Amino acid sequence: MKEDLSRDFGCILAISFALLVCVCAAMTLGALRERSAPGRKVLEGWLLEVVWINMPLLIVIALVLGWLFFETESGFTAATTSICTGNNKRGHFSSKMTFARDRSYHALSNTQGSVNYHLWYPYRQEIAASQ
Amino acid sequence: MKHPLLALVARLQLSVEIAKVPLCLLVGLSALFGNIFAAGKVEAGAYYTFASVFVLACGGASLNSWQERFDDSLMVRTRKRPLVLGSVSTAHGLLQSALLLTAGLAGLFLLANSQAFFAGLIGIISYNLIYTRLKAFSLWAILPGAFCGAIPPCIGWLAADGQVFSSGLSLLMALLFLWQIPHFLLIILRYQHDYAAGIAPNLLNRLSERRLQRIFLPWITALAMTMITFTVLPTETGVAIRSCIVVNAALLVAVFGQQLFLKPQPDYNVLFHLMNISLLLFMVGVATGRLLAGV
Repeated sequence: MKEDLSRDFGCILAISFALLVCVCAAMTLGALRERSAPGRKVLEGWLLEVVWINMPLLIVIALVLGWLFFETESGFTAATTSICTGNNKRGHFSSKMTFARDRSYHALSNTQGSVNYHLWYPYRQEIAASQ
Repeated sequence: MKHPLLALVARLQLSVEIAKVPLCLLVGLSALFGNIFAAGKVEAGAYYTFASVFVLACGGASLNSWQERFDDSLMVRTRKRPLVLGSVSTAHGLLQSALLLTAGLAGLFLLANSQAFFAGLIGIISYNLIYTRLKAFSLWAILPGAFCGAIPPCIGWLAADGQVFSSGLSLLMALLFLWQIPHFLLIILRYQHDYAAGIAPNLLNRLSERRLQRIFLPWITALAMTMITFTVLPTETGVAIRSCIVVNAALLVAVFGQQLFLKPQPDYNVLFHLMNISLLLFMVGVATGRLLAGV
């Protein structure tokens, strides 16, 4: 039941991301169509507008990448660990792309070698308590 | 001659005005939200964090009033502020900000933890030293400005012993950052006469109102998406609250789309208040969900 719920809201999230991409594309096209006369100032204004239109999309993409980075085994801690110790534990990135609910459960269940075990604090404690 | 008590009250009112107390209350509430989001419960520490962040924000706002007393005199929106009119001395403003900043930072250090203290320090440095100085000569100052706005919930999160490198914290910061930019753009559009005069560089000096309107929707959609992201977090929040969060986010996008693209002249006041109410409802919803899950 909870997994279904998570999946349903995950779908809504995916739709909102698709909407964001469409909105950014539409606004960029709108800006492009209004670029009537050539000239340095017009071009500068247009570039400025396009940058500001697409900035939130870049932030959201950075957020998603950050999420994957933090919530997967090959996350930030793994990266720093591998730099410090030379022990590269990366390699589970694409196979672990699930939502945080599954991720935290995974992190909890994987007590050995799960380098991001402590990262999803404090939900980890709640899940531990519920189990 | 004025009664001493009345004189004291009048002076206190001016101090409250310099400190921008209503705004700082919202800043404190966003820290409380970050705290509840991390801890899933309200303990004494949450109130201490709220109080410390509120006092710290009042200190930052007082210092900002003192820093911008000359620029404020040039704008209709701000020219009646106490430090501009001279109803409060600059020494009073400076002393007030020093006391409040010290009290706020000390509160975070003694009543929360060192991480929250450093986050508070970063917030003050980025607001009073980077954003306030940068906005006098760069339209990109809005970005560090938005970063400062994202710090309070981060302080709350850290005060509840939340991890620094975590997706929960980055989500909190992204939410507030994405909210700040359209919020600031709406202030520019609400007070167009002030900003179009070119006292400080801003997007309205470089882009037409129509072009500025086009920038809104991607920011609002990204904000709505970030709000919806909270519904897939591994909390035990009920389906009703999650649905309310989705509806709130969808309404925000719909009203902005309708106002900006279907109406000949959007009502910026309505949009401004809508953004504030929407964020407040969102925070109440998420916090309630976290607290009910802990019961």
